[in-house]
Amino acid sequence: MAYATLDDFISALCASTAQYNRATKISQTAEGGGFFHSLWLATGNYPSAATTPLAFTADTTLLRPTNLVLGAIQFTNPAGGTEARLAFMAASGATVGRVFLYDRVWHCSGFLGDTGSTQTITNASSWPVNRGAADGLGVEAWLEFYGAIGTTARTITLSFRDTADSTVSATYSHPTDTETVGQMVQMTLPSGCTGIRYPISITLSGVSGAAGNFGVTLMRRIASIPIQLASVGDSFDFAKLGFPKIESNACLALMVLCSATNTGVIMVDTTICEK
Amino acid sequence: MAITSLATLKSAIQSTGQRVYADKGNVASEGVGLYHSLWKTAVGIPAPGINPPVYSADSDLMIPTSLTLGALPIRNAGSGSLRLTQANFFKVNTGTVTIYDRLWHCSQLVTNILTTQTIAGSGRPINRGNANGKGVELWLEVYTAPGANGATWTINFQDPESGGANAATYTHPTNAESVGQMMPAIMVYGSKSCQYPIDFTCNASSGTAGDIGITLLRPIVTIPLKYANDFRDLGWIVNTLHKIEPNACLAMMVRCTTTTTGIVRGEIEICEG
Repeated sequence: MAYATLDDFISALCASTAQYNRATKISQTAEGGGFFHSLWLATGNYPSAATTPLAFTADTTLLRPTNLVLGAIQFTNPAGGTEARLAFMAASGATVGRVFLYDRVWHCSGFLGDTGSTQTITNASSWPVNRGAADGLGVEAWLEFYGAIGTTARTITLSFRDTADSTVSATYSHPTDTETVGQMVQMTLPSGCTGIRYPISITLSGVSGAAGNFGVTLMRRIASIPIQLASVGDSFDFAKLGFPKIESNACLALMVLCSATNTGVIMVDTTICEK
Repeated sequence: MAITSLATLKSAIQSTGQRVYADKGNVASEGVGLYHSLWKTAVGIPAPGINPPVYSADSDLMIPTSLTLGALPIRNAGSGSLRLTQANFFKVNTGTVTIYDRLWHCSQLVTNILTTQTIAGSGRPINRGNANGKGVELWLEVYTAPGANGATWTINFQDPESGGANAATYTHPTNAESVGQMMPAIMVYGSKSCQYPIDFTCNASSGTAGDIGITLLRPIVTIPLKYANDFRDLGWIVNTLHKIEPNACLAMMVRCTTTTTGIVRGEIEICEG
């Protein structure tokens, strides 16, 4: 067992394989209190801003980003036979909120808000999630907005393959206003669904009024840190974090649960150890 | 002695533990959400640092160490590294205290000329930790306030992990930064390291020359202080026994919640291993 004792943990912290990183992301315009905002495209240091994911028609393994993708937090894969785990995370921000660290296991863009036709991901079954549980256990489905769609309320339905390898669907109720660019919304999974292998298609219940550009992002959450007081934040040790495993090739990314219409400048410190 | 277990950690603390105290007086700062250096804070422990060398100096003094005036006074490990075991801090107002390794610094860049100011950095790359500068952050530090005309300041720097020179920018707002303010420069495209700064260019005059420096650093620990006048005690688990490189120039900055830094008091404990 990789971390059988407290001694194993201590030796991992003091090994040369311990990885320290601090991510800095400048403030983004957000939808407002209670809404999530992606920092994937946000300007910053370690990582720099990413680029918009490829379109849902791309039919490529690049739909599954890794630690080597521009925009991913720097992370060196653990050696064979060892595990990487998050030992520490701290966050401070100029605006109250909560910062989430997640593994971005699959993403695309290019869905349009001005069509009621089904928009099918090309050759979707060829690109299932390929980190962690192979059946997609624990994978969440989110929509991420790269260009604002229209203001007509519609239901957006994601068809996907679940952990039982059955085709089911998740939904999101697009309201009568437009989502902010960068906003992330979590899709409601059907009762009893425990994860996602791969997405299949997107269908709107009708046109929203503008094409926009949105994508599907599949993720596994790793940790989150509250910023209960602006400019202060908090820091969690391994026990408070649950000592979560970081999968090899993990594309570590950040999002914020906002309290206002900006995310504030955010700094996130992490220590990842290996044993 | 390598730290590989609770027993060896305990032994390292007992036999090589060092306590280092810090006590810095209150100074005016720019305001909420912004960063302020305690490098030159006049009152307190350690004694205040002095302005770094001029950017064109090509001087060893561009690489401060634990022996530099202004650094927290630590003794190098007999062999191996130092490890952070405790950080206990207090502040008269809320905010965040960051202890960092000040790897490289200069001053006297001016902001009222548009010509490129070439920095004598190539002969003085950072020399602690990863030699390519992986994880090194590039900050600007204000020694004399610039003018209040908005501008973009661009710093080119050597980024070996990404293959060569790269740029970072800072957007100078339409007001003058406070003396002592620190501002992170944002790397423009995919940078993974910073080994040394190359040059500095303003795209518009700020109106007043000012005196701006570049500080390269690696953060060691960030201590969130949610409550004024209340110590926050971080033990070895939350500090993750963070490595401190030999000769590290440990310095402090605060992230402010108001227009003063507030008195900052605290201590760190380090051991060898």
